[in-house]
Amino acid sequence: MLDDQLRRLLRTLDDRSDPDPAFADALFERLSLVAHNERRSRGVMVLLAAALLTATLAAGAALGSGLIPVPWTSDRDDDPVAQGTPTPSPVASESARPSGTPAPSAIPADSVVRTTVDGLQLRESFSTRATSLGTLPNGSIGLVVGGPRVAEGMPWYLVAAPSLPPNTGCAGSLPLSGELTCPTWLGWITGADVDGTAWLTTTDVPGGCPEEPGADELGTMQPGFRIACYAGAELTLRGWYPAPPTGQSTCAVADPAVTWLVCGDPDAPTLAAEEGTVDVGPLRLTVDPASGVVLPEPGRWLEVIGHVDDPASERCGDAPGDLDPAWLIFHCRTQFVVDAVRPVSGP
Amino acid sequence: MTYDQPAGSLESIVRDERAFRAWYDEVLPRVYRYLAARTGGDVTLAEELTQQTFVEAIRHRGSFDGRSDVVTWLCAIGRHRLVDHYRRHDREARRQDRLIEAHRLGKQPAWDGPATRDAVERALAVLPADQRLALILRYLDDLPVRDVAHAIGRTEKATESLLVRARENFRRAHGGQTDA
Repeated sequence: MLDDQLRRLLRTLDDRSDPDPAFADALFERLSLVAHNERRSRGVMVLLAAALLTATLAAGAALGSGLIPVPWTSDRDDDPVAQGTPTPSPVASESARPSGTPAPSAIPADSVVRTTVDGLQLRESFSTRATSLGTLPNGSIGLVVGGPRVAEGMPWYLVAAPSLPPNTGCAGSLPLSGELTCPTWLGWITGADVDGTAWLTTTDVPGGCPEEPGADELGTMQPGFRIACYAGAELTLRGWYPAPPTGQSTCAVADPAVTWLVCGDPDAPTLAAEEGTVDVGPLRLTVDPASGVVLPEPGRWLEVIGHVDDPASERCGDAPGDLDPAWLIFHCRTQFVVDAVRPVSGP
Repeated sequence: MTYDQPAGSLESIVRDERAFRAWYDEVLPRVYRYLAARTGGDVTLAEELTQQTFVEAIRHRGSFDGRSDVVTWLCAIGRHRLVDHYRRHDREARRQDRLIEAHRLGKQPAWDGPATRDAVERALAVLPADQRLALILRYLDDLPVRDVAHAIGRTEKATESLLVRARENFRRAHGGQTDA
């Protein structure tokens, strides 16, 4: 396919149509209002600035003296989890933040975000009345996997902690509760206070995204970051394909159509960076049986082309059972799915 | 009257309602056409993005430094809104990947289809949102791969891979429409 040919075809899209006159008039009216309000608000802002400065100084003095409680500090007496009843969180309703802060724009799906306050509630659903799953320390990192949904005047995001590679770090416990320091949580978070003060901010993947990750790098990367770094990308990896261990357990939690994605291949193929690795390499290879991809005999070097965030992930949440559908979808999206494979002579 | 205005003059135009309307009547069609060409014939979406673009421009008119054509500035704002839109709808569009995948094992139609607007729009419409956006930025806006990568928040290498798949899927979709 020639670039010029493609350019010529797309140029046929160059539009000669004019906007609808009714739309043009309506937009102009709105712009006039916006311009008018902006001019007005600039004048008012000068007056507000002086008032705000005075109020901030007074509030600072009150906070320091303990007269005003900081609303997002973890307070076990107000913790709905500790009380055992899902009650409205004080987080949103008792904020002492100054008003007038511009509302942050919506955070796109698959953005990496960081919490900016301590004790932010993680909830089962997008409501302060939903059950709290625990609280997040300031600086907690996650991946936006759903939302925003606006409820009670606040934008809510479904956020997943990046999780951990197999056999590393802390063990996530279910049900979640208390302060969530192990990055294995998933739930709804308010992205901002009712006055627009951001409680979530976008950030980069810690350590960055290697442009050409190796099997080890991809395998040991926190799974959620695979989505942030490589969703939509085609990855080519070279690695040692070890003979898998025998006696793999079976898995029957999924819709049969996507069992291959939720549970992985029963032969548990993996990829490693080092020749001679036995049993298990760091990167699990997931193969869609309908793809026609056949892995060769193990004990050799392979070049593997594949991707994360397979479209079939959307169906991983369809299975009946106790597991959270959102978590299952997130898990499936992190899997490295093989598109093509060929034996090679070495790394 | 020209609207290649120096910094600050957008404010003076906005203050004078007649000048503001004249300015608006001149630039609106150009910005609208830019966005309409990039939204696959979706008039509602083109109008929504045009509205977002102008509201943002008027709110931030002080940041227009007058060094570029005001329409170029407006189109740059529009492009950001377009990228935001496609990002929001990326997951929805990924579901369409299945349709593309279904064609993968089928026959490979010839690239040359009719160079008509409708055919191109239909071919673009079946692409995942990220691939559609990459093609538009690369071949309609003529942005270098580096700038496309920056706009869509990916590495250059990942963007090149995305473009390879986008071109291939577009070729199939566009050629496929001539098979009936």
